[in-house]
Amino acid sequence: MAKKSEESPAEIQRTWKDLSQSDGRRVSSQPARRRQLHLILNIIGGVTLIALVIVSAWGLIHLLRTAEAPGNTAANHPARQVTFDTDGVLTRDWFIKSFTTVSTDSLMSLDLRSLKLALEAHGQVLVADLKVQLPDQLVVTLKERQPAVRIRVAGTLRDSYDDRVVAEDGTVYKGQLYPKETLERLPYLTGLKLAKQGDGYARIPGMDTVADLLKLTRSRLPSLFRTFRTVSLEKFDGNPLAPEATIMIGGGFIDEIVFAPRAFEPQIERLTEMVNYAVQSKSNGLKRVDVSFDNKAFVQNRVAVPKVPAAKTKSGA
Amino acid sequence: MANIMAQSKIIAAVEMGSSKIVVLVGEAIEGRTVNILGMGEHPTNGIKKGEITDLKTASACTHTALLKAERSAGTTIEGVYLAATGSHLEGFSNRGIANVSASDNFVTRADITRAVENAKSKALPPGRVYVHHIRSGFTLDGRPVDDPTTMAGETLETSYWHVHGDEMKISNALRVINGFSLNVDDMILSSIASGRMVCTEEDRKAGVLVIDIGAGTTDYALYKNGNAIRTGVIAVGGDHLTNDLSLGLRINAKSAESIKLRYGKAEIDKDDKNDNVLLLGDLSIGDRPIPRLAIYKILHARIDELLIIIKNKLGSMASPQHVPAGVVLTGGTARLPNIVDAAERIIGLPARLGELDSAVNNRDLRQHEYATALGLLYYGAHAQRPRDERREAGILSKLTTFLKFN
Repeated sequence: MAKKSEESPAEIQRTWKDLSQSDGRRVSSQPARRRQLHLILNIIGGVTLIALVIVSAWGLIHLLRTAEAPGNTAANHPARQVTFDTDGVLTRDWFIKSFTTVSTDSLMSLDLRSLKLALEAHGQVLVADLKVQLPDQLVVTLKERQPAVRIRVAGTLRDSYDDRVVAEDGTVYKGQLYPKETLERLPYLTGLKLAKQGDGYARIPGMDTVADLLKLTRSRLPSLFRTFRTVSLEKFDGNPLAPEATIMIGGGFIDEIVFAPRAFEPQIERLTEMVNYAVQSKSNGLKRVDVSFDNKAFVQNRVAVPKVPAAKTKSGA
Repeated sequence: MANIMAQSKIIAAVEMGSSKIVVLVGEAIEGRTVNILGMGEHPTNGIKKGEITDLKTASACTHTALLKAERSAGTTIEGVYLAATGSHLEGFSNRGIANVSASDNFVTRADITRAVENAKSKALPPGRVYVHHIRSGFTLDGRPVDDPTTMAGETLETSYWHVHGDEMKISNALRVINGFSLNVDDMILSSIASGRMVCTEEDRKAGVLVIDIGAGTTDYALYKNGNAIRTGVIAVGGDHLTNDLSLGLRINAKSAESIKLRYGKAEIDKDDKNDNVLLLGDLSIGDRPIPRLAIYKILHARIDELLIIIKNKLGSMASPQHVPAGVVLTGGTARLPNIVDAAERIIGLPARLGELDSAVNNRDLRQHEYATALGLLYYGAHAQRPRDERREAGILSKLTTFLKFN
């Protein structure tokens, strides 16, 4: 009786709905387990189906919008429109002229991978990206190599010669559509023997170092850079740590500048001092400046004046 | 958008009977229509007299029927409406009274709520839980009223018929359904479910007694003014007739069942005295003649006893004045010949066999043993209707709400 009096009215007036239906003491059976398995499989199947539909739809949309993969040209229309974009000097006309099949063949028959490889074999082209946009558009995007120096090579005729361009990564290629002034401003690379590779030439080792040096000089001493005529790799095989490795630059104001193939900043600083000194002293040019030694710059005047001793740098060398 | 699209739910009506488990699967569409999609049946084991005696076996049988129904419907059941039966179910009537609080004596919702809470406030003994609270209607100053809101009066009274059952037995029934990873959305008395299907709205308003004689139990519901005012479950059914025959004639249960189905009759005629029937009917070894009168006497005695119990339980309420629409018999055992005559003789009311709602088109389902499951589906469909719509139960609602059975 005492227990009864402790019960609240809600407990006394309980309905069957107050009985738990999820107390975990369920009585399972084989049909129930079979149904549960069936439901789980249904859920897995449903999820898989939805995923498949989504992936298929996405794939179809992707296929219709772009066709990047080789041979993935999804229409029979010829490429009536060629959209051409580059960060260099090559043009759409050059492309169409070089690859005549693009404007005649159907998009379906275009082999984009072969086209890409053919473009990148040009040397001037660093990366080629080709896409088809249905129904009839071919989008060509190029990234070109930037010319660092020129090099003179033997021509096809006897005793003739041709000029080639050397990119910052050492690739030797026939520069096309560069403005004449751009090419004339490039110094010639000398003091090395080019190695043949296929129809062209093997990459020149150490050109990245040379390109760094030229870039720095161009930014710090643009007037002096314009007088550069040659870059000699006679004493530089591409290994900047090799003993006595030097890069020699021949120019109009200074007949020969000698750089060590590393730590260009301090060398340029010393060179700047020397050039400033020469300009202030109204010199008509210097014969040789060697900044390849640490904290020192050796200067040789062009005319027979009293010899300038080894000039001391800021650090007091 | 939600209003435009039809809201539907796949529901199952489950009747765990003593002889077989019946599952009907239907799609309830906005509470207006039920499309029956499939059904499953399985012979019962582990349930006697409507109560679970072996939980594991009963679960296996019920789950098999549920699985068959799901496969037949080709869909997954989302909720279950379960028939409640068993002699543990009892009922009592309780009144709730509230004095009208408004100074102008017009009844407000608060008055109705107080009267209803008062009627429902009776505590149950420990171990018992309510299954149904069935409202019998309102009276205002002693006058019966359908809807007392905005009517003037001093004392509002309502009466409820409360049905309660044994907590453990109900919990076991829930666990059987829960074991199939389903929840019971609602539990409805078997007699109320079958009563909805075998008699008309007019019968229920005038007053009718529905007796559903199953294999293990007999469920009854007395309707007046459209509401069930008395219900009950008696642990006697068709199986007892078979058992009586088996004991009385000294034959096995299978033969007794066969005799009951072939020759059974609830009333004795004068012509039956000297007639014999064959036990097996094929003159094979073991076949023997059995006096027809003996069969009838056994069945007659048990049916009389059953009907007398019901008459006694209802007392003066089972009178022609209270129950002008008479007695409607349903359930598998209602197919016993002459049982209608027996009911008329014992209860003293006009009796007839129930006919299923005309909306049930499927001939296979127009059988007495499916009345309860069909009634459960009806209530399940009704429960899916939006709450606002249910409140407006008027002529329009009656016109638009119908059952559509394929």
